[in-house]
Amino acid sequence: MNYMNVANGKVLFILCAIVISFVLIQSILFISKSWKRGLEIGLDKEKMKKAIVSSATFSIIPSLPILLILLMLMPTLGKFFPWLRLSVLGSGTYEYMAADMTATALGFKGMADPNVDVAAFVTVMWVMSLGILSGPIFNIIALKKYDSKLKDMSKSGGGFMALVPGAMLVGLLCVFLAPNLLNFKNPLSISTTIVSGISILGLGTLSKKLNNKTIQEFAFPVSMIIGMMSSILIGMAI
Amino acid sequence: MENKKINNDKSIDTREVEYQNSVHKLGRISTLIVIALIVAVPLTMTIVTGVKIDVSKMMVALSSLLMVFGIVGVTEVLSYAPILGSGATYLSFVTGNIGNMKLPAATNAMNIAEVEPGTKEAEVISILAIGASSVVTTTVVFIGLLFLGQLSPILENPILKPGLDNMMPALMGAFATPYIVGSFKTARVPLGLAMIVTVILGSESMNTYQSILLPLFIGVSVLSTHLNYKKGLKKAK
Repeated sequence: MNYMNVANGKVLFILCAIVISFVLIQSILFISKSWKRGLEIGLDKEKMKKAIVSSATFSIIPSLPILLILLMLMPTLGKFFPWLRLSVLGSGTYEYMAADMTATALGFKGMADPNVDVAAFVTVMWVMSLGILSGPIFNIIALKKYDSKLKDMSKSGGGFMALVPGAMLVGLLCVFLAPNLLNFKNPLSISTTIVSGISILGLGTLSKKLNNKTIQEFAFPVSMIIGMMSSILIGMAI
Repeated sequence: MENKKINNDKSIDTREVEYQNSVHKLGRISTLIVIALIVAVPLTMTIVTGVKIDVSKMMVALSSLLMVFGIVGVTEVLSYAPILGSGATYLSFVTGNIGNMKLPAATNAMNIAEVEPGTKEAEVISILAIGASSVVTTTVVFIGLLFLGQLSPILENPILKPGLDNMMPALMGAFATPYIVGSFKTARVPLGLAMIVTVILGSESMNTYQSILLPLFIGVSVLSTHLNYKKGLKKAK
């Protein structure tokens, strides 16, 4: 039996749909819980609505490359398993690497090997599913302890501890920014990073000058689009 | 009056603890269910297809994957949790795409709501943002699955391609620049170091080892903030 019949079969579709539906329910449960908590601690309803709307609109653009990864994975893994992997816990690099490594360990040339059979496909599903669980397992075991340690530290640490989450974010951002800003193999990456960076600073200043908060709310996705458009235009010019 | 205030503070504290406990309970139970469901997919397929799995070969692939991604999962939780808050961390580590989507969504929402990361207000905003972001991504990927045939010419259009190929630099430029410019005193040391490491390793390797490097750079950034804070205190004296 060709493994693609299994990969694109009804049973796998139903299984994947169950997992994805539950993850959606989990998101909704968390949203409703924190909405109530927000009202309780006196957060403005409008602010909370804006947080939801702006995050939802922002997330559309970064979701598009996920579709490209879906396209890339489908010829070797079928439709449904990549759909699950990219909706729950997935990341493009991991999925392809995990699938290929398993196929190689089983003695095939890779996932694209025409001899890959049903047993190999099911093994690939096992490895891809188990290999990505360390984060959630760690959360179940240790997040509560870690969180209470952090909260204790912030209570006892005085003024400096209030600055720590912000400092951590800056540290993270440096690791994210540098490889995009200094990607000499892809000069478009450098220009795009600079253009979107300047755009967001410009939009921030404009929103302050005009005292217009709507500009600030959409500054992030708009700057991203300006950056992406600059890569199209500069790409055409060079 | 003073007593009353103290009592009030205590009741607020108790409520906060209650809320935190309920977040952890929801997070742990729902994460456990998700893990069980994720494992149920290959398990059911093994039973339905009746194939024999070569466990030893499977473990070879799994162990080499876990050597990288097992550690990555843990370092990512340690790095992101203080910024996102615990509820949002449970949610993010189930839905994935944290650095490139959930974290920017959360911090952007915090900016709009004018709350600081690490506060209880930020925890609420962060969950709302990440919840909304997860629902949108899941919907987009589902629509993509249904209409991939129609969408692929657009996604692979040669004119639009450089735009999509450079989505990450566009995202990171817009995400990181305001923070780095706004806290340049803190950022200059970790940014300088990150740039040096990138030049030495190259951008690709920097991206590959990103999750392993995160704790190191977070440490440098916190240290740099601490030194600035001490300097500030000395000046104030």
